[in-house]
This record gives sequence, structure tokens and C-alpha cells, in this order.
Amino acid sequence: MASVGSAVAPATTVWHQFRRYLRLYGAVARYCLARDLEYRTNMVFNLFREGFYAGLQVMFVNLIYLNVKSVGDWSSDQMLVLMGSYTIVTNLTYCLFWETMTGLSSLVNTGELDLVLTKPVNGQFLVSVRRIAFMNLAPVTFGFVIVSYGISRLGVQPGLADILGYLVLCGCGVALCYAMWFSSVLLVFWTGRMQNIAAVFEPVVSMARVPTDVLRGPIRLAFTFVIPLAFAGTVPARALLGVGETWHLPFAIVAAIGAVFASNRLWNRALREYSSASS
Amino acid sequence: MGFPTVTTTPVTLDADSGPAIFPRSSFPSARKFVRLLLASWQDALQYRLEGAVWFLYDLLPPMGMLLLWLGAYRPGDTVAGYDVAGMVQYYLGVIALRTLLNPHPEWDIAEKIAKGTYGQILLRPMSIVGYHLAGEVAWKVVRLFWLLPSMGICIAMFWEYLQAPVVPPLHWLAFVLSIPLGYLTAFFLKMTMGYVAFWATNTEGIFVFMISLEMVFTGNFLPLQAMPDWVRMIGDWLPYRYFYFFSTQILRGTFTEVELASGLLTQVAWVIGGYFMMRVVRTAGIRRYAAFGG
Repeated sequence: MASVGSAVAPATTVWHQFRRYLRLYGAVARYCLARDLEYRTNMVFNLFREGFYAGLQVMFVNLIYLNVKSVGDWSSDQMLVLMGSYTIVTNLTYCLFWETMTGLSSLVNTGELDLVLTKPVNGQFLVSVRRIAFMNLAPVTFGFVIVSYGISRLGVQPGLADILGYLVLCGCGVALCYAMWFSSVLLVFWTGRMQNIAAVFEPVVSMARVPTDVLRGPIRLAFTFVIPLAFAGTVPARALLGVGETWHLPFAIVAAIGAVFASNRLWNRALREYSSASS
Repeated sequence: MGFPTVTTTPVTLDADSGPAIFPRSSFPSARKFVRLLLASWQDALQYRLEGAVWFLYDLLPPMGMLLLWLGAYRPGDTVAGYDVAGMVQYYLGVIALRTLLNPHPEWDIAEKIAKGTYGQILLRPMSIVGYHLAGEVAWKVVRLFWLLPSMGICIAMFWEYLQAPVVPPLHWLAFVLSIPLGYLTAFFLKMTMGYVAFWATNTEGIFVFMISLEMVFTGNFLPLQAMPDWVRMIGDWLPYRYFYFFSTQILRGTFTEVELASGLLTQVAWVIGGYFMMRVVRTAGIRRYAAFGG
């Protein structure tokens, strides 16, 4: 089955393929929104709950500043920008990928992955975007509020280019988080039963709350290049505060594209380990 | 060969004593408990990789907070009564003790109640407490496989900050006693939480909220001394500080003998109170429990 997981649509230009996938993603988003709105009370409760947890996380980290003036070079207001950026990147990742990542293990173990692979769409695309958790938009919004509040308290006035650069860096952070998360979830193809593999991402990404310039030696290098958590908080925040490195933006774009590409190679390799479990 | 005559005895499903045909105490005999433990151990071994993932939840959040603190300390600083070495030792202690002393029976209980299979546990001729305790202890032993090498790496990373606690033998004795008491305090509280599933369909939100509270009041995020006064005041009325925070403080050597005794007695009170609260909630829950499934 050489064509499994690959697009078998008529040969078209890259642009047409892109539009096709965009339309498909739009349909998925409409379906998920309609499904969530069917249980409005539940959705409102979940929006409130997720926003509340995000608020707690920001509060806990900033409790440190009741005892000290700064963490490394980060003042309390600068830390708000970092925590806001972390909240945006991680919760956008959860919003777009949480339900599909947690469901992949079950797809593999029950053999339902067959149904995905036989669709005339890229397999990785389909398993990655099947569900959108709109409730995580509440903490994303909260993250933007926190970032704006921190920026206003610091008196920093970023220009349009800074804001665009910040948004691109956040987008790259989401792509890197996705690639890391997806690659780790693929372990289920080798280990078989491992229902909680998707949960590995949450504690790992929680380390992104620590500014990477506070870290020393190999840990700092590892968090920037090996597990690029710096792009889930520190790097976007520094860019918005006007103290970022110029190489961060091009590096983030290249790293994000490279990481997603690498995750695709790993997905294709993992599929070779898959033998349908369905009857 | 005919079937033997079966005398049917009315089975009363009582939360405290179990079905009348199987008289039992609330705690299992040692032999049964060991059997349960071994069976649970085999089960936990099968899922050792899953255990590694859950272990990351015990390891990384406090490690992140420790790294933040290390970035905040200046030479000679003392924050909330902790110098930098004390802070490192505190968080390493939290990681080790939380990994070993923080049970999670509530998820298993709630899942079984929701699926309607908890009746199978209730009808077995054994203690319900013993059943859950054996499962949790077995998982904790497997967790040691991940904790020990991780602590080895942590010790190598933070070697310059570490020194063996210098406390009198009485403190060591109190520390040893505080370990099972802290575990049982958490265990009965969480069993009680699990039985909320008799009333609530979706308990996940409740459990996650309780974990947030736990992270604050057990000193997982920050040592309680570094918390605002109002948080500490609330924490004084809750059992969380006796899960493992109390044990970490014993080894700091700052407690007097009276404080040690009073802390241990409070732990005992929470264990007894938690046990009876769990029984009351379970009994009330079973009365309205309509199980399905085979």
C-alpha cells in the first residue's frame, strides 16, 4: 500500500492543494464549532475553566515576585509578558491539537486508523486536525490580555513590525510544539498500549515558563535547540520587549518548517510499524 | 449428578462490612493484602512506560520552579527562610516525596463508578480500602524505577547545594512516622473525592480543580513560607500541608519537639477524619448507586 497516507487527488498545483486543504480544515472547524455549540452550557463552563487555570498559572509564577525583585534579568512585568506568551503558544497548541493527540493512541490500538489512512487526504494532516478544542481559545485570549497589560505597565510601545514579528514567532512556537508533541505521540506505533503518551507534552512544555536566559550551560542549549521550549515563551516575549536577537526570527521559521517536515518523515516511518487491528 | 442445593441468603450491600455472606473487616488480612499487592504489581509493571509519563508530572513542574528560584537568588540571599541550598533541597525533597506519597485512587474509583463496574469491587470478599491501597502502593513501587535514576541526575546537577540533613534522631523518627501518615491523609481524601462520582457524571473537571488546589497548598509550587499570609491561613485549615510538606520541614530541623508532636498528632487526626469521611460519603453514594454492566 504505497499510497497509504499520501494524497491521491488529481495532480494540481501546490496552490490548489493548499486551497483544498484549507477548505477541508474550514469544514472541520465548522463541524467542531457546531458540536461544541450544541452543548452551550458545557462549552461556557469549559471556557471559564480553561481561562481560570491559565490565570492560576500566571498568578503562581508571579508569586515569586512577592519574595524577590527579579528572576535573572526579568522583572515582574516582563515576566507577565513571558507568561502571557507561554499561555498563548501552549493553549493555541492545545486548541488545535489536544483532542487529536490524545485520540491517536486509541486510533492505532483499535485499528480505526485504517479509516483515516484510506481517505484521499494526507494521513498526518487528517489525524492532526480532526478535532479543534475551542474552549482553549479562552486562555489564548487571556494570554493576549496579560501580554498587553505587561507591555502597558512597562511603557513599551512596539511598532507594527515588532507585533508582526511577535505573532510569527508565536506561530513558529505552535508549529514547533506540534512537531515535538506529534513526534512523541508516534511512539505508540512501537510501544503498542500506551494510552497516556499524549500527556507527556504538558509537563515538558511547562518548563517553557522558565526564561531560558536564566538557565545555565547544557540545559540552556538543550531548551533552545534540542527541545526548543524557548520558542514557546522566552523568544517571542523578548522580541516584543525589544530585547530579542535578530537571528531568532529566521531561525524560528527554519526550525518550525524543519521540525514539521521531520515529524512527517517520522510519521511515514511509524506507519511501517502499523498493522491494522480491525476485523 | 444433580446440582447441589443452593441456599440463598439475602445479600445486603453495606459499605462498611460488605455483603453479609462475606464478613470482613475494613482492612484486609496481611495475606490477602500481599496477594493483591502482587497482582497490582504485575499490572503496574505492564504499564511501566505509562508510569514514566505520569512521573514527569511529579518531576518537571517543581523542577521548573526550582530553576526559576535559582535565577532569582543573589549571593547571600535568604528568601522566606531558605538560602539557595535550602531551596534546592526543598524542591528535590518535594519531587521525591510527591512521587512516592501522592496517591491517585480517585481516578480509578470514578472511572469504575461511571462505567458501572464498581459493583464488582464492592461485591468482592475483601476490603475496599485494601483493594485500592494495594493498587496504589504497587504503582508507587514501579514509580521508584523512574525516580531513582532521575534523583541521581538531579543530585549530580545540584551537587554543590546538597548536604545531608543534620537533625537529631527524634526528628528522623518523626520523619519516618510522617511518611505513612502523609500518604494515608492523601489517600483517604482522594478516595472521598473519587466517590463524588456517585453524584457527578463528569468528575474530571473537579479532580483537575482539586489538583490545582493541591499544587498550592502542598507547597509544590512554592514553599508555604513564601506564600502570601492569606494563602497560608487558608492552608492551615486544609489537610494538604500534611501530605508531604510537613515531612520536608521536619528534616530542616526547625521544629521543636512540641511542634513535631503536634504535627504528627494533626496528621493522625486527618487520617482518622479522612477515613470516616470516606466511609460516610461511600455509604451515601452506594445507596443511590444504580450499577450496570456485568
